[in-house]
Amino acid sequence: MELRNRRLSDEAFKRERKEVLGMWPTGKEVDLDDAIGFHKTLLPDRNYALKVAGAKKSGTQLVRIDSGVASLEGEIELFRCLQDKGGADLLGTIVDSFTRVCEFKRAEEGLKESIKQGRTVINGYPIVVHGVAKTRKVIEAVKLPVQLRPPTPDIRLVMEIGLASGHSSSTGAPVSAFFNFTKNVSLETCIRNFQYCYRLMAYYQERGIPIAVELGGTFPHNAPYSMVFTMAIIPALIAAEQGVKNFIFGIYGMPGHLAQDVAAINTYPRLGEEYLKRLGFKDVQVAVMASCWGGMFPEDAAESYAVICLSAVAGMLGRAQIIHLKTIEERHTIPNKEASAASLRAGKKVINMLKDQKANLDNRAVAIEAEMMEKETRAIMDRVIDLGDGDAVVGLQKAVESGVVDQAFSATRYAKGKVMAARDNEGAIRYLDYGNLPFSKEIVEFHRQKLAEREKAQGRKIDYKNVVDDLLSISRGPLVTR
Amino acid sequence: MAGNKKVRAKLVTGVIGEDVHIVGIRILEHALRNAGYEIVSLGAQTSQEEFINAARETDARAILVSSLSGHAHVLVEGLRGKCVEAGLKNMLLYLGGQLIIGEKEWPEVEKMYKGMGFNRVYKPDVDISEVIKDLKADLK
Repeated sequence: MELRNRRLSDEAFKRERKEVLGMWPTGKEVDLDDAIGFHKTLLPDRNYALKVAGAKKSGTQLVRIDSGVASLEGEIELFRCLQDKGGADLLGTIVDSFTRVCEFKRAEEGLKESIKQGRTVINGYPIVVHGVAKTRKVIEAVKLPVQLRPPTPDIRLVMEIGLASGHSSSTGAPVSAFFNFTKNVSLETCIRNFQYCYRLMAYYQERGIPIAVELGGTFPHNAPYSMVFTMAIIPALIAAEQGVKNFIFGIYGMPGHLAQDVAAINTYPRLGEEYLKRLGFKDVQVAVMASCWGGMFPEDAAESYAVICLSAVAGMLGRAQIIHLKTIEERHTIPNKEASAASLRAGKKVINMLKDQKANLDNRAVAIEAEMMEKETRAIMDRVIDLGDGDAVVGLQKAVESGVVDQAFSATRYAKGKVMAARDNEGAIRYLDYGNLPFSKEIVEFHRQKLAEREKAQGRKIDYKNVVDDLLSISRGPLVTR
Repeated sequence: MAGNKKVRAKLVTGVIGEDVHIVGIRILEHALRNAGYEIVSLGAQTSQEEFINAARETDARAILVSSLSGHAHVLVEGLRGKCVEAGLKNMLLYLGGQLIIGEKEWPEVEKMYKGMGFNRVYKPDVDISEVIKDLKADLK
């Protein structure tokens, strides 16, 4: 049967839940009535969706940092440090990469080894192995809402355990999962898995527990914004069909051109909400999350502080509801909690200095960026909707097949992989190769001219060395490598 | 003119285990191609068996393993043994990426992975030209 954007029936959902909960013994701990009851004890202050909606209403910014270590005690200690010493407003649980691909046995071995060695040897919190009861201890140890952060194609059991244990938001979308978190899993499987996850979120939503889905996902760090937007708005339509009502549009790493980043923060939720409403989903809550640069960080902690603070500035200028910060130790894999807390304090200082000012950039520069990314996003989105005859799932599949939805540096072997981007002479991200994206002559010419300015300045055509330099520039020099 | 350009050895590249970090290896592959090597690119999420089979089938001289997940020691255990079993005992094995989580002195890390059978072990910020220099020397 052809996969379509249709809400999972109660029977199909029930049947699949049995299968998913059987994937690991801790699945037995999940009882939805009990979970709903537990969530009610967390309302309202420890509910992610409500806190974000509150921030939107009051025009304030919330700061989040993520982390994940193997042991339960370690995770509690970490969260408490981020809350008490860092001043975080929101927290995020990073799930280890074995759990992310459902290799629970390996995650369990990693946990055992971590306990034996007294330090974490896996790169996140093995939530499925720990299970519901233990993870609730983490949630209850802090006064903040916690978001689950798995990015991969099959997070169904992770979502079950995660939501039942008290997480009130989760990342996860079929498009970024497909492009960046698998080589062999088909797009169809990704879509089906996420229809389940969104249906589960909706189950909580419909019983009085708002659950926010954060869309977007990790992309190559030179991804043009219109590509990022499209790859989040399409899953939003899929989530909305399952019954999700709270949407956070996530920018996973602002590339650092202030006017472009601020324009993106403004344009993203506006377009997201518009497409949701256009496709018939009226009672939705929309917010935006702006993250610090997601690519390679500087080696030096002092320079890393600068990168973090600049992202906080951009987040403030754009008035993002959530500003996601990285740690000064980003270059050193799993950072220690003191470093993360210090990074949070730096970002919060920026916010405190700017929050009463209503500071603004040159509106013209921001407006031009906003206008172009909107035109590009509409071009892609309208084609996707057209390809699917109004069905986002059908449209997405056809779009990936034809390269209308595409990106550079994909992990999947099923993408066209024709799109490529580079920085222009000011460091803004431009399309170097737009592949099969359905762009008008005006859009194509705009990007070409911007890149021509850099070519003139550097005396040679934009080449692969530029692309590599652009990915690494924040870690080692000025934004635009000369 | 076409035909004059000497193609150097075939190299198998890939990211081991469940790991999906793809940008680093793509950049390395590009540089290696520019240096004249033929690349058998396996991409992300590559198993030990896939590395071995590709090396055998293509008569490759080296296997370059990328690992960014921080737990490479779990994923590369036994790779050298499999090479020997497959009749590839002279296979060059290179390892690079983010090979460990947390603080550990580099000499200790390097020693551990060399002890597991890797000829060369690289830090995350290695200059690609160093890798190419080592390859030239090792492939003589």
